[in-house]
Amino acid sequence: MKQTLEELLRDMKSLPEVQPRMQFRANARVRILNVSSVRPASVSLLHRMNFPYHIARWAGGIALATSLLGGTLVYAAQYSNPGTPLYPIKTASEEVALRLAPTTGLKTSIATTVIDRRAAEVNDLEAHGSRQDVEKAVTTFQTTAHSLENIKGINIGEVESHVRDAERDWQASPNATPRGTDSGHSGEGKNQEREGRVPVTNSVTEPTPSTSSGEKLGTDKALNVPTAEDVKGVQINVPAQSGHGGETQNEQ
Amino acid sequence: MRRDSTIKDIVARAKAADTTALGELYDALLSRVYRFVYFRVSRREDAEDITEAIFVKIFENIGTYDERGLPFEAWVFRIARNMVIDFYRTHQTVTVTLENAFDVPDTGKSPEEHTEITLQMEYVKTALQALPDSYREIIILKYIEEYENEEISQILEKPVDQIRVLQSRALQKLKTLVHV
Repeated sequence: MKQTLEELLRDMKSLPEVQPRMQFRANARVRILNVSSVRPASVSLLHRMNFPYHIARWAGGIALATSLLGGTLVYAAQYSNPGTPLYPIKTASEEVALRLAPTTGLKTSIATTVIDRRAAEVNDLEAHGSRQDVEKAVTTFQTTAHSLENIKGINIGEVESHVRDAERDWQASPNATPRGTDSGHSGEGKNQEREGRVPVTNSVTEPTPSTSSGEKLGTDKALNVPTAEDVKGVQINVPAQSGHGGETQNEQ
Repeated sequence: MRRDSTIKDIVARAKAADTTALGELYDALLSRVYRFVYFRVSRREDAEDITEAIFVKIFENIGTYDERGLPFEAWVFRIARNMVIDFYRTHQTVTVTLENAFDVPDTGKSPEEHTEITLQMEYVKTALQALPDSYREIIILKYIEEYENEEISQILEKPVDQIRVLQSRALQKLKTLVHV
């Protein structure tokens, strides 16, 4: 039966290509709600200044990437580990930086830094936290690694290689807890012989930006990370977490 | 607008910084906002970027939304419309001429795999791109998203009578393009 033009237009909602992709729906939900909770100043500022969109992406991406790689976006949050109230702020800044990074090289650099951070969290909790905390951190590492490999415009080979290196480093740590399950990313065997702690560095892959003082990013000096004493008393209001990630609903 | 009382409740909670309510608004509105943007820019990547920016803007400014007089969805679509206009200003738009409006869309499927109706929809979708933007947006709001003229009037900030005229002209122009 031939449809009228009006009927065809009404039914165009059913075309697959006019629906938002499931992955976009889920990932954008997390990003948007994180940004809405944290409201990084650089994102809000760009919107308020009505920057041309493509310039905003470059400027914001480079600014956020530089601050993520070479400094601190929110000082107090950088010390947080999975399960702590400030942790969403830490991951939100990473999400925004990844999102706004305009080039594959920059996106990949940020991704490898994020992996290093997740690995450092595991190391930190193995030294000071409970077994439960360590397991939570390992799960977070694995989830993050998996989601990073699915990001559009990223150098997947480099990210996967970095994940394997990070896992190898923490398994070689004297504090490493034997893993019961394979992460699915590492090609190495489990329960490696421990020969000494291999320091996990915030290594930055090419390109390697540097701070204005010439310090190579990734070093402690360049990171200019304040001590716990410096941030004592800093109060940041963290809204209650909602159910993030992957929730999809059909429109009623 | 549709489901007005439900949206009102969610908006009230969202204005009180309830993150769960923000998620509910996103779930309720994403498909419609995305479609509105997609039909205007026709590239999925651009539609995703703009849609995400729209929701960030909505949630950043929801505290300033005043429900007196303007339904929430009209407010949302005004933001969406403005973001699309901003996008046009900064990006070169691809002009679809009448000559190529009827090219068989390359969907990767053989003709046998298409139903006739799907093919017709693809033609209409392509012809939509050949319309002036003012006609295209009214076709999207009226015939695809099925808003009433009063609602469209609030979104486009034009009198209802003008909306009726615009809608009639837009549909006639589209019919001419698809030879209906």
